[in-house]
Amino acid sequence: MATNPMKIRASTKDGVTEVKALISHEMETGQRKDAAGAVVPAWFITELTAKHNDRLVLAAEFGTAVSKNPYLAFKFKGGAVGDKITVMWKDNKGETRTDEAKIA
Amino acid sequence: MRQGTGYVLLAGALGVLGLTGTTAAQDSKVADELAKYREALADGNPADLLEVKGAALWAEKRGPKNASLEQCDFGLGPGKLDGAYAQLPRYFKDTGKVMDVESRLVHCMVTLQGFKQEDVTRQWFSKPGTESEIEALVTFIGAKSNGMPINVPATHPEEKKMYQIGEYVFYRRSGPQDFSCAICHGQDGKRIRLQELGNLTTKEGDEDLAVLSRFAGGGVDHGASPDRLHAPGALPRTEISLRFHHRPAGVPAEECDGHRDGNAGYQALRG
Amino acid sequence: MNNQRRNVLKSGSGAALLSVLAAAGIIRPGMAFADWNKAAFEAKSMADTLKALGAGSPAESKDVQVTGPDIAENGAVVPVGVSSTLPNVTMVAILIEKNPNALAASFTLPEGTLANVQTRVKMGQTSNVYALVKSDGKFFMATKEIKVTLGGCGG
Repeated sequence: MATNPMKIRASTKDGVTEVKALISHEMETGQRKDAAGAVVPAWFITELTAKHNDRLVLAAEFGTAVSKNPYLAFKFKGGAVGDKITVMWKDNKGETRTDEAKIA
Repeated sequence: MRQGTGYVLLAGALGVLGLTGTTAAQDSKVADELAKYREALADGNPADLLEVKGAALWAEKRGPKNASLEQCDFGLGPGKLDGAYAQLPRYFKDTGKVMDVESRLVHCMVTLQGFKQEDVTRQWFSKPGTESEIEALVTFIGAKSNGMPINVPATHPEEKKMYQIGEYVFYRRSGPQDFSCAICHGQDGKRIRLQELGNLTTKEGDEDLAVLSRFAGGGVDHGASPDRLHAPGALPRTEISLRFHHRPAGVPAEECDGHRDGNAGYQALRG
Repeated sequence: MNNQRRNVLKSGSGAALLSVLAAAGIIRPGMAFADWNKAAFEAKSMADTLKALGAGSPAESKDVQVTGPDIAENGAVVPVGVSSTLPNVTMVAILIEKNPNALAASFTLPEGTLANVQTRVKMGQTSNVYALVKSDGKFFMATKEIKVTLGGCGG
């Protein structure tokens, strides 16, 4: 199934890089009912990793309580303008997506 | 029901709403925290995702002609998007019509990419489960005018005509509920639930124009009006958009904010 | 020595290593992503969740904060985060006491990543929200109540 791009912004200041990512995903809890009254099955990102160039800087595990279109902000030491930030997620249906951005 | 129970229920309801404070100090703390909440949500809202999606759709070769939209002319030249949204709607010589961003986009999808008009206009707005490409593309184009003053001089005779139609429609009562736009959007201080309704006839109220520019029913709760009134094509959106983007000489222009646009729409949607 | 191995060994430790190994093509992706802590995410109460995370009874710490506003207009989108000045933090997590499952998210922090992570969560109702932090191998916690005016779990 087609996945939508995420928005990744990264900026560095005083030796610390801040990454903000907004990921496109429905994050269905499995508790919602649709208009017909049927339960919408759980569909959510389970794992996510973020890398600075080739080095892992964050590994996350999400549950269904993470909001739709997950937002994530974190900081790590290091990073220079132009370096690559890669974010990859996998959901409970086995779908994955990877996007990247440069540190500004 | 005894009076006592009534009061208990009221207090309970207020408690649920987190509004049990009776002093001015407590009220202002609630207001502060809500302001913090809204601020925290402002950075990174679904409009950002639509923008990224729109950027991809803009550059992708699609349609029977297998072409991208990159040569689309919104009035500043083929492919020139910076500030394009801020000067729409406007008259276009090549079509002989006043067009807004959506109609011009559809024009490009038909002429540049070879799509059929009825296919691309089938879904103006996203619904749960189905996404609208028009919505993503418009958000992307709108974002290219972020921070720029709205610039719709409406000097061309066709534009002036549209202005007047827009004004007429804004005040005209119609539909089964005998509603006009002005009833909700022509006065100060009106609200639906927690969503403020802007007074479009003032500069401040125009902040909410962003919500209304997603006119055709996109999630905005026009509870009292039938959705039919807001179906795509039913409302002369271009005309109304022109009426409110145009500013008489001397009135300062307000700035575009594609993100506030999306955010306002988001605020309305999530309600 | 295989160049891929050299790069992989430089990159980190713990569960994160498995995914990096997968990316390097050394182990298959299917193997790496068996990581998701099912027991912790499916536990209901705070106590069961903490147990599944191996956190036992975390000590309360003034050096850990639950960040974010105290009130959320919409329980479906509550901005919340964990912030800590404790040393050598390798993991942080967000737990919401009154949610159907307490654990909302957990984060593994490789060296160099700050103990300051923000996200947005769904809260079914006003509840205590807990920030859990693992510092020097020991668990610490802080809590605050976040009021929700419109619950965000179901239809």
